[in-house]
Amino acid sequence: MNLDEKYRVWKERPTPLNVPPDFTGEVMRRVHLEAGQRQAQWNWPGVLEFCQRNVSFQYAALAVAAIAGLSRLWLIFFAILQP
Amino acid sequence: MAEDSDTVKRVLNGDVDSFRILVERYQRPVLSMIRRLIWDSHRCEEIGQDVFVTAFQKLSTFDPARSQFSTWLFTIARNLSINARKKKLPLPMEALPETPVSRNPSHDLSDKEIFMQLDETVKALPGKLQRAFVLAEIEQMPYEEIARIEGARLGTIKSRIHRARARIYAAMKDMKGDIT
Repeated sequence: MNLDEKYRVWKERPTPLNVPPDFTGEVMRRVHLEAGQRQAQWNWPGVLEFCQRNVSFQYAALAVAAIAGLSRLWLIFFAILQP
Repeated sequence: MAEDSDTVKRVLNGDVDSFRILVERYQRPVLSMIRRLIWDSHRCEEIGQDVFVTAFQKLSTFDPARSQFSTWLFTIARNLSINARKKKLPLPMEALPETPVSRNPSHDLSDKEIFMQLDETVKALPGKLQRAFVLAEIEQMPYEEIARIEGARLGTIKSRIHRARARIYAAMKDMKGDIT
């Protein structure tokens, strides 16, 4: 057998590859875990979506804004009314 | 492959389960490639899983206009294999050769011994030559794809493959015995 044939036989010899039966399942378990962690992290689009969807949060924010606005005007009311 | 790009889009839009299609499609070639690059079947599975998890994490950086999904995935596999080899963990006992390879030049080698000595020659090649050789000759990848994975010019890859093959032929010349 010459070198080329020897090389070809070596290169093309069958080398069975055992892919573990649960390989896909294990990868997908880790991928789902990764995706879950990613969702749990705060990001700006997520915060905006929360503000947009949560009505209770919107009322609370409105009340806080109103109180903050009125408290700024308090000195003016005090000066006009002079109780 | 256009199907890969569609699947990637679905995964990026939140359909995580579609990633299974990509894993099932590429698990065999990725594991085969890693096995040949790190020569350790025990760590091959672990690194293979890391390849797919890394691909999932970085999926938004994949640009179908720049490369095929397979090339992008094999580049991740190549990088993680290089990192794994740098760690140089001791080989598990089961990964060691079952029979010692004879170094006695007067004795004709068996088929198994010839194969093992040639494998050892490939393992002893410098990393760049070894990767180019394994991807081209064993994994039968097109030279252009290897060039993209390695980030090298086509001519450089051809030269590396040629040099690796020359070393293997030189090793074969020194061997006594024939394959039956």
